[in-house]
Amino acid sequence: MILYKDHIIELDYQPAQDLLVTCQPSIRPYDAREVRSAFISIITFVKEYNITRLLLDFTRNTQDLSETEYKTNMAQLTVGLLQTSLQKVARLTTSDAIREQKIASMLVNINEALPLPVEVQMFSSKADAVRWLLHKEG
Amino acid sequence: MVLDYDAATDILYATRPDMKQEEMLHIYAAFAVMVKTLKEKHIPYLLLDTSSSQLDMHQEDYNTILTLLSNDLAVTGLQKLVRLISPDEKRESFVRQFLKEIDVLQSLPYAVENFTSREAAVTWLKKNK
Repeated sequence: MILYKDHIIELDYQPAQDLLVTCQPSIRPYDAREVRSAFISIITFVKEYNITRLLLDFTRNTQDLSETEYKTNMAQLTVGLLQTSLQKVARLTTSDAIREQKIASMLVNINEALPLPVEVQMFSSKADAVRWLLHKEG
Repeated sequence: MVLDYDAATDILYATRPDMKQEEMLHIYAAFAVMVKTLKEKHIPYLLLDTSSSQLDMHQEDYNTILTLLSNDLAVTGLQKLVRLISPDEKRESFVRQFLKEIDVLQSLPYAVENFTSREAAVTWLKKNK
């Protein structure tokens, strides 16, 4: 069921699996401000529904952000999701190698700064991501 | 963040880092170290010096960090928290708004006061020990 939808983000929740899947409504460049707005929506609904599994799909964003923008946005999402029910986060990777490299190194930095209470994994296939999210043993 | 513990008075002195948007995660990580120190040493009094710390952060992110910190501090055994504040109007209005919000959500298990003078802050912490 669609929990939330605006011009930046769509949040699809599957209650039986306790899985929140995010998606952008169109293929276009989304800037850092829009990503921030999308993250606020995600945080709000994870809290409100006590969601444990999250699939982040930002592959429809054609815009690579600057390192500072990634750092700011990822910190916002990470801190925002602390002390929630969330246990597992899967993110779909893009075909943009530079963007992926930035995000991967940012994730290493985050893990060094703070031991995260959630598991985070990257996937190129949505089916693999969902399989991992729903797998009981982690 | 600088942490300085005075065993004679059982006060932990912490200097808050600049609240910069892109450093949000490291700011929370620094607070987490402060909370861990309070918990491990069973320190009852905390002086948080925010007077020379810059604030450049969205209101909701600032509130997020303060909420996490309030939750963390609630389970440390902290009895008194004093904030050394600056006359920075923006920040103070942020904090006032936040305190109003959490006031209705939870009652803190420790006392909170704000002072602009360090002497007054320490005197308050030592009072009625």
